[in-house]
Amino acid sequence: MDCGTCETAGPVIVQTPEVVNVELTITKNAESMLEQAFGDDKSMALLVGVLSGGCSGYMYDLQIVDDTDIDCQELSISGFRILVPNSSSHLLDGIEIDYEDRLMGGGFKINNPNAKSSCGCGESFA
Amino acid sequence: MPRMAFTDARILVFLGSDRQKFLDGLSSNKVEFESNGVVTTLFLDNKAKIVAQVHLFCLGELIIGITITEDSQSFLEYLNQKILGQEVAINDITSLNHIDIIYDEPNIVDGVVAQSNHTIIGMNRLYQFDIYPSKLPRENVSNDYQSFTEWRISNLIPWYGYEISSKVNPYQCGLNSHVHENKGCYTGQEILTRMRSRNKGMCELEVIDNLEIDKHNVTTKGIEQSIIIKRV
Repeated sequence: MDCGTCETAGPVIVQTPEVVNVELTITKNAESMLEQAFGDDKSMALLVGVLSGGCSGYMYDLQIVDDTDIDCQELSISGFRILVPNSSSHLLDGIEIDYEDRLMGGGFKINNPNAKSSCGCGESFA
Repeated sequence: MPRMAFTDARILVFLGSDRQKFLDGLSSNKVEFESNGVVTTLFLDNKAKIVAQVHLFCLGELIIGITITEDSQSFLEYLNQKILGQEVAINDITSLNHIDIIYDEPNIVDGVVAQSNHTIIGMNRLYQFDIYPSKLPRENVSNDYQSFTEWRISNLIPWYGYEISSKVNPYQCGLNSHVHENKGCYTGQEILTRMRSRNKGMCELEVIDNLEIDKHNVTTKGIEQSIIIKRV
């Protein structure tokens, strides 16, 4: 078999989509939950990313991090550091981060104007 | 040892450290490789209809995918959109290789064997793919599609363009074994899980005598027997 790499093996060139300058909003409910999560340490950041997979093709990924190696754009919203990976910026522009206080299915929610559909649990979108 | 050119397939190479996780996250079967093993998995749309059937195997640092789909360009675009900064790159090496199907051979062994320029991929002890560079002459291929069809009917093997298409989901065309029941979310998973748990819309393939053909919707018609899809 000719795999096309034997004679020209080099670094893996990853295709990256067009980078968009992301604007996002955080609801009051989400802000107060983030206040509790961060405490007084505002040096931490909320990483809002997208992974491939899930029931609808893309999955949200929320993490509280010190820093990251991922190529990100940094936003400051209501005093919080928000990191958005450039590789998923086109999927996250215009989102609203909300928090729903419910016993079942509660937690952080993303309202995404770019999503055509989303799965029942709200973690995945297309 | 009948051999046919398999010109419907495309050969994709997946490179990069995230290649296996990437394929596993997007498709219906668990993408885990045993030694020299082959994993057949399905990429589905959000209605669980089949977008592509892919036979995956490892070759050193590469994962090779023998890909059967109605629209390979759209499928490649779909995959590329899902990379999102992961270390994955996809090359289409179809033009560099021939791919043949060898069937009706008694000693077919499962798994992948590399022999000089040839990579032989045994499938379910029933048939083999042979991939070899397109700069070599094509080897003794037959155009006897009828024999292949008769062999396929007698072994109840669903095929793209016949039983398998973008209008059906895996449970409607005999591809149940390519759906892993316990893996995490992937596109189309909710629908398949609901079908399975409610036992609704499940189908199986059946061979019927052609004397009964008028009563059924035949997907593959042979000389004396045919394949139908029957609701369970």
